[in-house]
Amino acid sequence: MSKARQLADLGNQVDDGAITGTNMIINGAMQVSQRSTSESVSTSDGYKTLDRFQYNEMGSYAGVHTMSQDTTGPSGFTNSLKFLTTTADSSLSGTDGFSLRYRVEAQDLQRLGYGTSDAKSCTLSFYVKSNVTGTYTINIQQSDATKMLGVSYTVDAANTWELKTLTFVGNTSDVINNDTGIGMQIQWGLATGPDWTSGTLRSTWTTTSNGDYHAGQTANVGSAVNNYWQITGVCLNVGDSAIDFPHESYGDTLAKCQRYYSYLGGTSYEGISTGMKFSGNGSVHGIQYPVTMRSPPSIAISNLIVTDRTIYDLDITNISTVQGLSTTYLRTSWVTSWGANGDAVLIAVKNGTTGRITFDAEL
Amino acid sequence: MDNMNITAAQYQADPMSGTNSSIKATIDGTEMSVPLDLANRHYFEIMRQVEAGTLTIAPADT
Repeated sequence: MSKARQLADLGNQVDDGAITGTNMIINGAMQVSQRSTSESVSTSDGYKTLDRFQYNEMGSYAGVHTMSQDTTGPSGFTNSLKFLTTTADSSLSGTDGFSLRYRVEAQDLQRLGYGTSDAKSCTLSFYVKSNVTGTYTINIQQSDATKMLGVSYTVDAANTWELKTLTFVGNTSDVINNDTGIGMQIQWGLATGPDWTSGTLRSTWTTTSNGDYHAGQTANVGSAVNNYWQITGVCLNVGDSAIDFPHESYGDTLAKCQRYYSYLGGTSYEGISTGMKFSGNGSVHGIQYPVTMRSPPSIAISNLIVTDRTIYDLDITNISTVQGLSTTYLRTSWVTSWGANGDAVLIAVKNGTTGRITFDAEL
Repeated sequence: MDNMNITAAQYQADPMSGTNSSIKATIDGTEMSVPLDLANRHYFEIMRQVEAGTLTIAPADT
């Protein structure tokens, strides 16, 4: 290859963000799964397994799926996100369906220049594998403007990893607010009832309308038990061509994920926080999150104990006094009936269990 | 909008200041302490359901 060709290719990569911008999707290689590696999903939306990727259920969908971090992938990838159908819904009606959803934080999208004449195109690329061939759609929403567009792809060969590359135009009319809210939502349709498919797939940004969300989709991953759909190598970059997936260390990806969800805990007697007994029956603790979070998080606890110098293993069951007041730190007080003011008190995981305190600031 | 099943909600008072500082809520079967901040998706959904008239937040225990 000539030096001129190398320089030209380098310039194209810079334009597409390979060097300057990288991937706007966190955990695209499906490495980090802090909550769980496998869950049965149905009924309600939620972040169930792999970090940053959300299960979304629509209408009165009756299908049930196992959502898991699979340990297979195309060359260069050791993990993927997998939906396996365990209860089928082969007769979708109305708004029934389910999808995989990803939300990008608004302030991380300012480079796109939306709302200006210089709004940039983006390219979404990913590897997909399924036994269900046919046409799938992806709905992309700009939340601040309540606008959307759509793209489609086909799974051409059953049970084969395929790389898909989809480019969509920038929005010259509507600004993405420079804040910590939802800037863009990407929704992979996996089962889409007729109310979602009756319209026309949008190629430009226009006001949301149910019939256009997944127009043209024919594939239904939930149509039969043991159907599956897998994805990995998800990348969203600036420009009209895909960059090579920018692999990063597990530690870097984990830290990025922890802005949205993290936890402290582990197994038997693993320490979480030391505190101090401060009144007749209370102790006060401060807990710093592993990283600064996107917003003040919701807190949940499971299988924790509080221990002081005279009594061990008092179960913590009351979350009432947990105060997740900021993006960096929470304060909590627990009931402890023993010891003297000023005594040290430890919060730890209950013996013989897996326990944790979780911090949820997901979009 | 997220599809969340919220079955209970009660304000919690900060034991130091005495003012409401969070909501104890059961969301999709998990009890959580939710901060009073609309950037938090659980609080946003709680308030959306309150506005829709499908959820009531009980006052804090005194």
